[in-house]
Amino acid sequence: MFSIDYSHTDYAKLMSDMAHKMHVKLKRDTLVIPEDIANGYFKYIPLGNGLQCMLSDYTLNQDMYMQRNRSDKEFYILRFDEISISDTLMVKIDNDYIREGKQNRASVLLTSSLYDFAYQAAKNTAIRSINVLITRKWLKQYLDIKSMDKVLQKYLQLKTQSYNFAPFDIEYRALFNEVMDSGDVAMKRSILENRIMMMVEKFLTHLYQKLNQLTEDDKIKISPDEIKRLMEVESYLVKDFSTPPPPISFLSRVAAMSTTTLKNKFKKLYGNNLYEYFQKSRMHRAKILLLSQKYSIKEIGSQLGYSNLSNFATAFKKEFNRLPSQLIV
Amino acid sequence: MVVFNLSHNNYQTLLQNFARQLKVKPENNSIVIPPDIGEGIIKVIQLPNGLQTLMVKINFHKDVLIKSGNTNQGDYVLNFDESEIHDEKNTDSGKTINSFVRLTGASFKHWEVVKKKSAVQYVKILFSKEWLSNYIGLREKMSLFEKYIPVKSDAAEKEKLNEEYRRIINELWVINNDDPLQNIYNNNRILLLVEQFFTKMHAEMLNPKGKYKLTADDVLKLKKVEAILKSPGKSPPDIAALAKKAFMTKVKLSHAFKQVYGTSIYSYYQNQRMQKSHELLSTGNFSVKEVSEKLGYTNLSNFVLAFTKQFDTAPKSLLE
Repeated sequence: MFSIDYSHTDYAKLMSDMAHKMHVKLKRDTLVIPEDIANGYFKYIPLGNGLQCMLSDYTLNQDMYMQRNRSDKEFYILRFDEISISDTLMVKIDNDYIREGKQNRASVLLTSSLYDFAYQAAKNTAIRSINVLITRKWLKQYLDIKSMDKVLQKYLQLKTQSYNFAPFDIEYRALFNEVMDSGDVAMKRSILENRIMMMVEKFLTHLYQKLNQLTEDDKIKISPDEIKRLMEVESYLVKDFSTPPPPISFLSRVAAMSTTTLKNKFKKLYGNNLYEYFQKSRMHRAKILLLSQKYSIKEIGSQLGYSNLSNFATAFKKEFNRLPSQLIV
Repeated sequence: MVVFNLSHNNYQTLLQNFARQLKVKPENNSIVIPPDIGEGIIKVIQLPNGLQTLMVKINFHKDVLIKSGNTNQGDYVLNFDESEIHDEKNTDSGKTINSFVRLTGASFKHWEVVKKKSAVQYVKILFSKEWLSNYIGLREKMSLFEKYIPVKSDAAEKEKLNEEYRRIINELWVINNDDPLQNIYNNNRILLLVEQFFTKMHAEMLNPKGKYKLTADDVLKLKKVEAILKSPGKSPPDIAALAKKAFMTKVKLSHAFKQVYGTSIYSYYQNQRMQKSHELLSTGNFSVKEVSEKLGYTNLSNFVLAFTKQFDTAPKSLLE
């Protein structure tokens, strides 16, 4: 097992420490992980506005244990993870342990430097993640810090797993993929910064709304374990837009729920029913491709499985209330 | 006539100036327009990264002269205009609807008389050249883009607003002043507008609509030609001479110029000539006849016609 433990307040430092432990050299801001440990990389991205960000995308070739020790200097870490667990994944937040079995999950999690944080992942686990380090200085600059502190503290005290891992929704999913898959585009740094900032914005907006609704009583209860399985279902829905989504019978087996329960609980968690979710995600993907100015409407339509362009245009209009062509004039 | 001067290299100071001019107090970085002039607000958003944004939304009760342009050398302004200008000549709706974005630089100057009953709506984002090069991450391989931007800002070409721009601008207008997340909302919307504009410009540069793939060198040559057109003298542009200066054929020069500046050499020159005449007349130091002669008109009534066509008002009205 490869293991690293660290305490840090800055990703540039963390990256060079990791490189040292892995006996490799950093290439600019990228750390290519040695093959005996994993296939993939860590990448450090300082954002222009003072936030720091670390992207990673790797598949483990041996078990790995990573631990961040608590620090006295307070800051927050917002993690967006897409993980395909091969065997088990153990996450430790302060003194709480969460153990996950073989599954796929895409979720958001906020932690604080005041808590220990660790995870242990088994060989063959694939991890893609965006970590954003939010300092108090940044919070002061962008937010009314008193009210924000209150909200963040309240959130962190709720260390039950169901609450802490918020699943991705359509917009997170679209933004996440755009950041992870951005190739060599012009103005890459700025585009990454804007996407990541949109993700931070979305998280904070949800947080405010959620904490206000926390006392609400719900008819449909979803257990932490069910959330996990629903995240698995979600990962199948967005896997490939060029073909129709997997049949519900298949998804209900993945979720280990009856089709009715799956339908109800998915809708409760993600706000849309299964097909809507697939379709909306597909349209968000279309929008990103359109705005990148790199493809024609026809190319995008066929990439997303539309053989008939006017069906594509109609579907797009249904989602965004305007035609693809109106987006690229 | 009430004058609104929107050209300044610091929007905070600009807002202070307006407050003094209109005798109102700024609150939350915005001022409310007094009812005798119009109904609406002027608002400034200061982002932590140094960018300033001026937002204007006013229904005018009076005719107003709006002056814009002339920022500091090295500053750029990205202007979003969604105004509805009262226009009696448009017999159908009685108004002209603007919906465009354009990038302007230090040399840009635009004066416009806005008739009462017009609804003006602007979002103007001000940034320095340093900020921009840092932002778009100019590197060796991007040098064409680096040359292209100042040229495009001189051209001040209007680009039609697409629905995505409109959506972002609308979102910007509805951000609540006491929302604890307002700074993030403002920051993200404004940077998305900037990003979209430059993404489009970059795509257009790589895949020009015209037939010429321009090199950095071509762009520099065109810039030289443009500089000549910018100081209009007594004689109209001689395309053959310009082509010689640019080391291009006449045909290539004409096409490439239009491709980059969005308008033909002659109409570019004509527009510059009219802006210049407006400037000269406003000083009050020259008669209409003198100005027309300075700009190479032998026939005074041709000048009056051209001027009226451009500014919707007769030249002598500026002298009153």
